[in-house]
Amino acid sequence: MQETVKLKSVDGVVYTVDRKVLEQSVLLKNMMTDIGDDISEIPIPNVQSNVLRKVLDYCEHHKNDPLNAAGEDSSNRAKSNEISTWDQKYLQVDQEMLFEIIMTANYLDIKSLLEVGTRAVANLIKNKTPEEIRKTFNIVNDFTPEEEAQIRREHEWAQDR
Amino acid sequence: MCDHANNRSPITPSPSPVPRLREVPPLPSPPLLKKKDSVTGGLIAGFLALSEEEQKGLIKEIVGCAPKPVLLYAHQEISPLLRRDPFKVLPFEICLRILSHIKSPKTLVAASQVSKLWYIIVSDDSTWRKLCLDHHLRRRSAAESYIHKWKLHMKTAELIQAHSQNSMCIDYADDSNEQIQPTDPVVRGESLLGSRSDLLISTTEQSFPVIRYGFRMSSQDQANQNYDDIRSIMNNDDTRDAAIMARNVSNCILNDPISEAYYNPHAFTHIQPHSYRAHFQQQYLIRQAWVNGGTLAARYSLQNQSNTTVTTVLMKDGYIAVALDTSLILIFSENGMLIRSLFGHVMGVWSLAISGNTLVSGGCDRDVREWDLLTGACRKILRGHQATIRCLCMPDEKTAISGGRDAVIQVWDLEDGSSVHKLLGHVGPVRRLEVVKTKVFDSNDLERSILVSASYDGTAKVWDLESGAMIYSFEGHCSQIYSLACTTSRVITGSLDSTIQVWDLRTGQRESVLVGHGSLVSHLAISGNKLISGGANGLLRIWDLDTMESLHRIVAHDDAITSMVLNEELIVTAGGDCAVNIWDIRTGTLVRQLAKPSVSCVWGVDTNEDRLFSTYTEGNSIFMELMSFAANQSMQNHSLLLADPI
Repeated sequence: MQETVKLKSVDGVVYTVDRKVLEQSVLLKNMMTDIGDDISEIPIPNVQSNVLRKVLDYCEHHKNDPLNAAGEDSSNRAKSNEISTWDQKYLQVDQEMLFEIIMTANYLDIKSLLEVGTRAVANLIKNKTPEEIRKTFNIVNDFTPEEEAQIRREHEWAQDR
Repeated sequence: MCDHANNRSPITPSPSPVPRLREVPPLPSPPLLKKKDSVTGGLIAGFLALSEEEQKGLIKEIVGCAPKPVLLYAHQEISPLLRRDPFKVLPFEICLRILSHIKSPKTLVAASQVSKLWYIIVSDDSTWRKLCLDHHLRRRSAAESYIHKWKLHMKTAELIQAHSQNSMCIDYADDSNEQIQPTDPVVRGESLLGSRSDLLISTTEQSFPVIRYGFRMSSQDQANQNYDDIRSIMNNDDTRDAAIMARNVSNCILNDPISEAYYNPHAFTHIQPHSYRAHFQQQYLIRQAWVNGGTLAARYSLQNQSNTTVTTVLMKDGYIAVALDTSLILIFSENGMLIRSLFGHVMGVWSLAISGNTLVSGGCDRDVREWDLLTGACRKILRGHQATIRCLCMPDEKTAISGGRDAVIQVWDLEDGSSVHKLLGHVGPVRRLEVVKTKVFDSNDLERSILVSASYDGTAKVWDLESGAMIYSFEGHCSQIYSLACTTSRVITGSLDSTIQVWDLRTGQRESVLVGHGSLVSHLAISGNKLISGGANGLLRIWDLDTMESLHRIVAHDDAITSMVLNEELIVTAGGDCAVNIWDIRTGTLVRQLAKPSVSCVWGVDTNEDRLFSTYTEGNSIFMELMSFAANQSMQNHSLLLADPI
């Protein structure tokens, strides 16, 4: 069996990657199992080369992590609410890239990356006021003043502590 | 909490403020543009004509030669443009996934105020369901069944009110100098009982009934007439229970020296939550009220009781029952309305048990009495014990089990009043009884009821409730057993020898001895995999039943713990030091202390979801007090924007 597989991004860049690294992705793992040795090149539609490179970096770093058989949620959440130092550094990218990574992780079914990615977005939201959240993501407030007042009233109950 | 935002903001002053309403943010308009339109226009046209690679190259060169203030300006202009609204970019399920990492309701609420899109995504109930789980809130279904009871209560109130307008037996005459103000939903009745012993029903503007003790119903006949009238109002089974409850109220005869009666029918108002969001809100408010809120729902006092002991406080199946060593038993609705007092025992009452609408009581006069809580009638007197009855339990409405100082356990059939089993084996007073449904003893994996008894003879015994045969005798304590807690596979005993012993129902062997109390272990309770124990030296301990390790050691009271009950994630303890303390089971920390310096003893407490009942002595009076932690803030309708999709 070949030890490496070629991945081709939508913009035509080809990366040669160890099978073991790609097994982080449930989608690619199944694909490699189904097709076996005949794979010469797997096209990854919708993913730009710079994003693919970044996602492959993640898989490379985590290639020796035990694959959680139970799947994503229980194990990961139980493990920690923290993001490991390496992952934290890895996720220090602009929002555009962060969201691309999350979508690629979702598409390729890389559960742990999807988990840390969404957690990183959640961390951008946590403990912020609505105005701070808008600033963080460059969001325009599209409520009318009346709606805004109404929604604030609806939520008074949670403001105390 | 603003730290995050500040850290991420550019070093320079913030960019022009984001417009507040509906406007589209204006395109960056460099000052150059106005002065030299033609030059700039030409530059831009030239730039746009380049290929992407060439554009990149040009920008690189410009950046290379631009002075620092210009670079800073460019940074300031560019960085917000690179920020993206994740909820616009990412698919819905990933948005929900992001929200699932947020544990703080405050953050979720802030998020829903960001924009219409965010409001809609945060309104998805799966997020709130997750939050309910994360906050270990009770299941919605449990909350709903609870609310059913509340509805019943309200129906009763309505009926009483309807009846009060239709009937002749409500007497306002004596109250002319103390009119009930419509704006005041709560009426105080003070020292009014004496020879008068009925109730006054009035209405307020909010059409809630206000019930007051202190007026005489002309006769029992009239009370019955009253009941019949109410019954005639209703024609279907749904309202039958309510009618019976209404009858209780109208039947109320109080011969006791109740000197203060305060009852606020508004203290508990539940709105059935239709979404996890509303459920979360309700539970959140209840929890918050436990920490720093609450209102007085009812308070009653008995005067000249300086030598009286409150022996039992029990909140169960919609009732609160209080027993005194003077032979008196008082019954309240779980909303704090005094329903009746039960007379019949000739000596102190030391134990009570409730199942459905049936109460059994026992004490120094050696009789077990069975009462119908709907009518107040004593249905049966069960005789057989040779000494004081110290503990009772009711596995169902038709069975009562009593344990006495005569070392005997009697199992009674309440339908015919017969003694089903007389369980002999203990050689000392029987102190605790508990019935457990377990599959351990059935080869077909069916549930069977077993009875566990704990005695001053230092043993705990397990009995087959059906045959009356003894299954195990757990012998290991070297002194009297005072406390007992059971799971479906374990029996846990606490003793004067200061140890807690854990017994395995499967093997009949002792699994573990938990040491560390240093004095009598008087209270035991189980919450999930945690065991909570309270001792005569005021020590409260929390143990992990999986590892048998001590999790928390808490000096809870300066004196003995007199009462200990659990409520979800809270432990409520009362102590001889006159305080009621509320603890967090998970962290072992004090959540709240309720204490009054003038109180001389807190006798007992009991709780359920949103209420705390306590009895205490202050001066020469005994007080019975119900506090409400109900979420009374009205639930808001969250459909504002959902009705108008964008």
